[in-house]
Amino acid sequence: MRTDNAAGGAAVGALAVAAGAAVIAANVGGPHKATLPPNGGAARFLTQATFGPTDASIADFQSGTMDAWFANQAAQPSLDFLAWVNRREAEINAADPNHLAHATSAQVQEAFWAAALGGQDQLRQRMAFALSQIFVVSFVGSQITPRIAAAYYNLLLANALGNYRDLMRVVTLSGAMGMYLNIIGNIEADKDPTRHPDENYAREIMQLMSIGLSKLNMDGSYQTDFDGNPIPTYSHDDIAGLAKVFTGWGWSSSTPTASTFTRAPAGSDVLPLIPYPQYHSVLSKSFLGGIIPAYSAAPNAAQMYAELDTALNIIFNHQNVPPFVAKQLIQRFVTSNPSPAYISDVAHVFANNGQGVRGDLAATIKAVLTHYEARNLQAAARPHYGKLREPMIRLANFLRAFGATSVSGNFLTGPDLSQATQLDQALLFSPTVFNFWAPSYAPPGSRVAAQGLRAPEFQAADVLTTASYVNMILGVVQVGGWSKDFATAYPNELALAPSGQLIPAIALANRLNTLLCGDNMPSPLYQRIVAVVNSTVPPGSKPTAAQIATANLYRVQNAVALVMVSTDFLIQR
Amino acid sequence: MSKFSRRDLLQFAALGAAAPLAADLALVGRTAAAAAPSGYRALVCVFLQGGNDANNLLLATDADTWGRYWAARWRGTDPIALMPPGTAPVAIGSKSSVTGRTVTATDNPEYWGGVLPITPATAQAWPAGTQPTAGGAARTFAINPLMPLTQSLFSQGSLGFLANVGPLLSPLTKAQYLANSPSTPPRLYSHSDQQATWQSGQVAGTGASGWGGLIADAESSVSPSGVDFISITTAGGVVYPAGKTVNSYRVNVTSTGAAAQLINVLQKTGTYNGSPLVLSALAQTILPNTSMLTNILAADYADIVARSVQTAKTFSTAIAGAAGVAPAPTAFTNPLNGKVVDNPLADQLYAVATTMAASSTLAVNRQVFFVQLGGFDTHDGENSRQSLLLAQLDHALNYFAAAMKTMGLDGAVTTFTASDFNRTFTTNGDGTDHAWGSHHIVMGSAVKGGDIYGQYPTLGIDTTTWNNPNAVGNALIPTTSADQYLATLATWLGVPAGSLPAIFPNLANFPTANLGFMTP
Repeated sequence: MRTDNAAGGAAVGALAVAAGAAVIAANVGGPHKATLPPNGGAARFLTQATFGPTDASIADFQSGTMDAWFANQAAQPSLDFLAWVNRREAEINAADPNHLAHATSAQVQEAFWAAALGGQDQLRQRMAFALSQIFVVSFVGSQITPRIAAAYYNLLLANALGNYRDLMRVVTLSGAMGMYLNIIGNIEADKDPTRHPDENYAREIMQLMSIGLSKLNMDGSYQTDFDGNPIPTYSHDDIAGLAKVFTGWGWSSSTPTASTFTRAPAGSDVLPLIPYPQYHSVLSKSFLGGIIPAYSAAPNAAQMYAELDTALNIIFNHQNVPPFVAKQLIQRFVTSNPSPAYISDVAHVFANNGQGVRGDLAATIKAVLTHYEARNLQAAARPHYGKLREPMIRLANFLRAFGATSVSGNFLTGPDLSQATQLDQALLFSPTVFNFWAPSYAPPGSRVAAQGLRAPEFQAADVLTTASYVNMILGVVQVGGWSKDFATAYPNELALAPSGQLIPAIALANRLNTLLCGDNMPSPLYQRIVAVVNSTVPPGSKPTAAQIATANLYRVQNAVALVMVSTDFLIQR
Repeated sequence: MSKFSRRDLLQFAALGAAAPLAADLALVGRTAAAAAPSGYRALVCVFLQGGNDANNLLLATDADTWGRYWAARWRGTDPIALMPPGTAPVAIGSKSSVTGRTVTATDNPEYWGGVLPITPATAQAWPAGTQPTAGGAARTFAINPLMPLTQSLFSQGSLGFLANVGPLLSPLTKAQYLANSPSTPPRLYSHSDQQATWQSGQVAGTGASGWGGLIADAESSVSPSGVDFISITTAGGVVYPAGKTVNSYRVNVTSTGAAAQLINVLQKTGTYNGSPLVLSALAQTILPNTSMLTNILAADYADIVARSVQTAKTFSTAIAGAAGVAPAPTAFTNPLNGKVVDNPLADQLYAVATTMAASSTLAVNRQVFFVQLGGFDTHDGENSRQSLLLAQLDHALNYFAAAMKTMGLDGAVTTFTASDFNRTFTTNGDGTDHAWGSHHIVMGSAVKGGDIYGQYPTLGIDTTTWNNPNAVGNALIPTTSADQYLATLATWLGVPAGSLPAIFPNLANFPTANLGFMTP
């Protein structure tokens, strides 16, 4: 870390190390009991836990204890994505003289940026974003509407700090997942040997959303057989068994018919799916060692709900769920290569929050973020530590740091950010159910691969996207955003200048160190910023006030540009 | 010198110590070149992402097989059985004499008319469990009705099919499958794993490198000059084009073919934004000295950016020098709604053709390309979804075949399909689920086209009185291994026989490494 020009930074680092050492020495029963020094590491913590630190969020964090911060975050209200899309749909339709224009996926992106930038519920927003990459639903390759997507994101937000088991249920019964992985319209084939229930959701809820393909130890390592091979968690028979559970679920209706089974009546597109017992398999269903007995007569709706809960409990209680979820959350928030001990500590909290509750996501994410390996700067200094910031998070970090606002209030996002020549990422725009990147991805021929390590976000980093990012972000830095509607004029950075004078280079570098690098900026970049800022001057020996103002804007733009393209920013540590 | 030590040296070379290798590389080059074909050659992998339902791509139309096909697929809420050969298309509002149903939409199979007959040059044997058509006539075949151009290419001998190909560890009978001895490949039916399997050539591969990339590794030892442009992809984050030493090159698909992405700020000079230092500082920051970076993720990221910058100018210049050589695709009309729409696969193949036109400037003699069409995971709505995709495939293949002829490359470029897996033989009501053995397309003048290679399987679900030796449940047990299919293509490209086991570790378990569908 940087030690020059930053007495505060050095002190923070020392305190963090001391706190970490105390945790080790005490060997506390749960890492969630670890605490931070009250005023230390705020920016770095908020870099991991939120869409990026701001002056206000740092002050808020420093005003209380870690426990109070988590409690306060859980209490913050969330933006209603569905209400946003409905409002925008009405506006867009009214603005078209022919009333043919409608909301698109762009309005869901608007809601995301509004919430990521302005929401006080930052932890919940970050968690929902992470969960949207586990419980993947995408506009790509599906007929998901903006309303259905917004309703789905509301479910992720509502349960993001709740219980994983509840999340599994609301996701299963959501119109979005019902459409994306074919739960809706899935009909039993009990007496028809030439047909079979759709297996898509049954497979992916196990492979991608809960247990994965191979049996895990609590520390995330594979359990192996006598030959040293990983042990599969399930076979095709398990999938076929579970697939029968997901038959006979269709769109909500007060008068369910064959038509409403697959076509949503007005307004029910955003409601939970309901049982259609006439389409539900009555056979026994065995999977993952559990058996749901056959029905002697056609089941009623209550029996179908009970059966669904039984099935989800079988999955939820599988030994793999705690390490599976723990590792992916650590990868999304802190580091691509957590130690086995880190995974194990978080997995144990997932398995039991201390009060006998399994699947407590608030406790789990607290364990992720307060762990020694998340907080300690010596841990962060190890060569394999950290993660590539996701493209959307890089942009969010920038926009929050410098207080970007939307003139219209609608956060008009301009270009389609999902394009490879833009960010190569947008909300609910994964190319497939396998998310933008796989947890196990290692770039071919890399140092990471050579050491047997992982770097999931590198799956989207290639010669095209890395160059596109530089072009895109430098354009954003130059205008302070990506449109006249949605930008910042860098007011707080320009305010660093004493009246009529140039912005002091060190003050500006310190500020960027805090806002963009979590007070952990290495010395070479820091010194480069100082040199470039000092070299950015108005013309002539007696510049006008306007020329000084322009030079100050250049100072900010040049300094911010350097950080945004630096691996010291790109690799969050 | 073994291939492994060569590879290690190349890895070392990639880290910046190329000079001591020149002599070794020259030696390797001579050795390999002795057996390799001369002149430019390329393989183009068309990946049908999501698992194409090949049961509706290539069909056997003998009475016995068709009866089981019809029974399995003419059912459910939206039946997915195609009409028998010779059936005339039925207009919307008219009644089909085959199904007795009134056609209501352009995605009703009756609307498309019957499957399109093809006659393979070599008669297919009647497989066990199949009742030969009376009179001992040859087994008959057809392809999807939305692929008339592919039918023409087949009859012209420019295109052939591989029947029932899939990942295997060794030849496998149904009895062996049921006894689980020898083993079946792990993680069948899983998208991510089977994509990795098909793209890596290794059924239990780690997914770190693909067989296209491994071919590029081997090729880079022969002609290291164009190493950056041997393995080309239009898709991000895929396994196939990644080598152990050679990195894939992702091109930007544009309206004029292919382009590299230049970093704009690196093209500027002088004082910028009021500072004489900022441009050089940005360059140093964008392209850091990786030896100064202690974090390996940072160094790996910096390597990608550096490669992007190093290659972008070379690529842009080469593409500009070959402007107009590759013909652009013709317009594609969506057969379901009659509208002219984009065909992303044709666009990608245009990028491939554009890149090939620049191959001599890029100093490459061998190339492997990867393009991808998504959306084949037709668990539901298969009629509307797969029909559009196969029409796009048909249009794109026909465009590319013509483009290669125009460019004089039709004998030097072989195009082939791959996919996650085949889909279930029976319908789930309006779609199909994940299965195993599948049928694939190979195209080019070097292909011994107009034929079906491998045994076209027995189709159908077991009953109490009938047992299908080629299927377990809804999935075909492959009778040709993906390794054999891909190794035949690799051999044609010029990969020496001695290098094949490293790329396809299970190849030796099969009776032949060359299926004979390529002219050497």
